[in-house]
Amino acid sequence: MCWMQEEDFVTNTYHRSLLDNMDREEIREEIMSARRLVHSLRPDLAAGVADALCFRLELRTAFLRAIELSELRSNPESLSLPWVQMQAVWEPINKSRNLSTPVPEAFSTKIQRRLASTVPPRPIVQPSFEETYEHFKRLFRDGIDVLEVLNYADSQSLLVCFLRKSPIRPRLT
Amino acid sequence: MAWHLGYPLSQTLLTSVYIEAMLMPSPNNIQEAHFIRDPNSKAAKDPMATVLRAYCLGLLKACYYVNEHIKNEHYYEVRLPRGTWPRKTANVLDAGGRLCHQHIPPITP
Repeated sequence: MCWMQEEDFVTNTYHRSLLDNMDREEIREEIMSARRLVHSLRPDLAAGVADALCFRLELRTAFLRAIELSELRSNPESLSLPWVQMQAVWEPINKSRNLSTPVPEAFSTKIQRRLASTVPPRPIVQPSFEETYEHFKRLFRDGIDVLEVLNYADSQSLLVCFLRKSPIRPRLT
Repeated sequence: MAWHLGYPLSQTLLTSVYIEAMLMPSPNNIQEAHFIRDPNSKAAKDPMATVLRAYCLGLLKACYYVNEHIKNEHYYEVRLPRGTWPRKTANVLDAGGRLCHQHIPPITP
């Protein structure tokens, strides 16, 4: 399973609000209207660009939906739907990456120094396309697989799940 | 993606000039969450700015939820001393297996 240990996960937001007080319905509507905009611009865009943008926007909608549903304890089948959608758009997203142009100036080390001014500057992390591809592919697969846990009726099944899927191999002595 | 792997936001998402412009000053509503300073500029009229903004909004909100889930400890690690559980169970948990808190069986003496 692709879970990070919480002590490895940095939750510091450096006094940025991350849209805390914004309604996710409003955000979803912004994404939907952006998708409509891309559709309307389709004739003016280079081949494949409209689809590439739509797939990326769809990924964001599905991710939000997956998180929203994870707060419910409902039917595992319906919970897995956004993960299946993300899995479905991930391949076309990966294939359309050659349409993009790198824009290194969109990221700034100056901001990085301002955010974490009390620690020595650390470089911006730049995983390769391949790493990103593999990681998200695994994330979506795990998002689907982990929901099977909800169908377990006994702790033994849960134990077997962790024995089989944990990234850390247990020491079976 | 690197943030999902455990790198801080200061080295990943928040280094984006677009995201920094959206979040500073902190927006009070969704209309304020934009990175176009001059509404009459050429950039403001570019439909791709609208698409990028929508993408960033979705990205940031997802980031917010993931962060909240971690902070609320929906997921956490269990470590127990050896000998308090049946051997195989203890090994799994010692190894850092992560359990959803609803599913942890009661501790047996």
